[in-house]
Amino acid sequence: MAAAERDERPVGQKNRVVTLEELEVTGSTTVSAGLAPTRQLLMQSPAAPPVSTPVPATPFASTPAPSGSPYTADTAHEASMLAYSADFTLAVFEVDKSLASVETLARQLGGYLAQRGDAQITIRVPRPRFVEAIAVLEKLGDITHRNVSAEDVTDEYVDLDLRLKNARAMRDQLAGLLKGAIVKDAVEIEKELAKVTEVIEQIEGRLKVMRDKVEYSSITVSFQANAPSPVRTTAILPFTWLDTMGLEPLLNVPKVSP
Amino acid sequence: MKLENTQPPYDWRAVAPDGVAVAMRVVPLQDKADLAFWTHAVTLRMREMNGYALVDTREVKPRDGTAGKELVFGHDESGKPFVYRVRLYLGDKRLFVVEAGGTKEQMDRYAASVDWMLATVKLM
Repeated sequence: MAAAERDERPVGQKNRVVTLEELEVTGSTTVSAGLAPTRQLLMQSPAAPPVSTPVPATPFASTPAPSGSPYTADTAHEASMLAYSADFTLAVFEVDKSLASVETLARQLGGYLAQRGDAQITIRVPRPRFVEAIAVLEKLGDITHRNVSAEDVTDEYVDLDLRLKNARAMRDQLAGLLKGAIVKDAVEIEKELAKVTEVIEQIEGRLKVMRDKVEYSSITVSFQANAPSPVRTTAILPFTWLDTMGLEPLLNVPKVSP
Repeated sequence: MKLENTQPPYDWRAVAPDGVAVAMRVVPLQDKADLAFWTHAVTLRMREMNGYALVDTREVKPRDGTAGKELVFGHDESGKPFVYRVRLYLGDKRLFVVEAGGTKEQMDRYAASVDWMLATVKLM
């Protein structure tokens, strides 16, 4: 349906008023029909194939994509709506200091703190500063896990934008009908007008969320010790002295009489 | 202060009044392997099983010039950062393991003393 509503639509349908069923929005964040699923582009994967989706004229067409690192987006994606995100897990050391550093970094880069807990922090940074942010974070401590990804929301954005235009056209048409309607018809038209207005607000809200997701990249930094695995995936070296390495035995000094 | 009745796994241990501890152990080896092997073994054990952060690694030499490796780990205990330094030296069928640890605050304060103790270890 999405493709049929683009410029390739038959002339007779280009300005048609779509029905509410076609515009139906379920919940507050998802559109029920006609949307291509969003794609996950793992930036760490060198084999990520280029996407052939036509590049739409979006408010982000001129926004530079992050560059100058292994996470650099390719040219084909530069004008797309890519929502960058990253997750880092660090070994537990100087957690408070590191959390404060991450929060400060967000502000220095023009971003903001999204969430902070005892051992986890999420920041949002402007998309052009994303690579700079992760370059700094990679030096923060001993990283045990990292994941950097880009979600292409171009298709979803274009579909929603088209639905918004159609909904507005429908609203305008209903408003025009309302002006010359008799009382009996006016009540029905107002009901339809209320419904389409609600749909417009939902789509506008969703588009706002998507724009924010693209404009600001999310970065989550967690501090956690590796959870002991119930099934060993590697053999353990048979040297018992390795079991006594660490701060606990070193600092556990037995009591003696002076 | 050196502890007279040092118990296994250590062969020698000393503590400062503020809680910084330095210890040494000699591990007999059936097969010599190499320093890289033991460095990797200790790193894996501390990082992946004990959850320590590897903060730094560096080449070191004791007084007799034996090539060694130092691993510096960090770990928070009850929300407080601690530092754990390990030096590994390979001798004839023996591995010398020198350790120092304490709160980061104390380890930073006594860094010069700890460095001196670790550097003046005599391998016999």
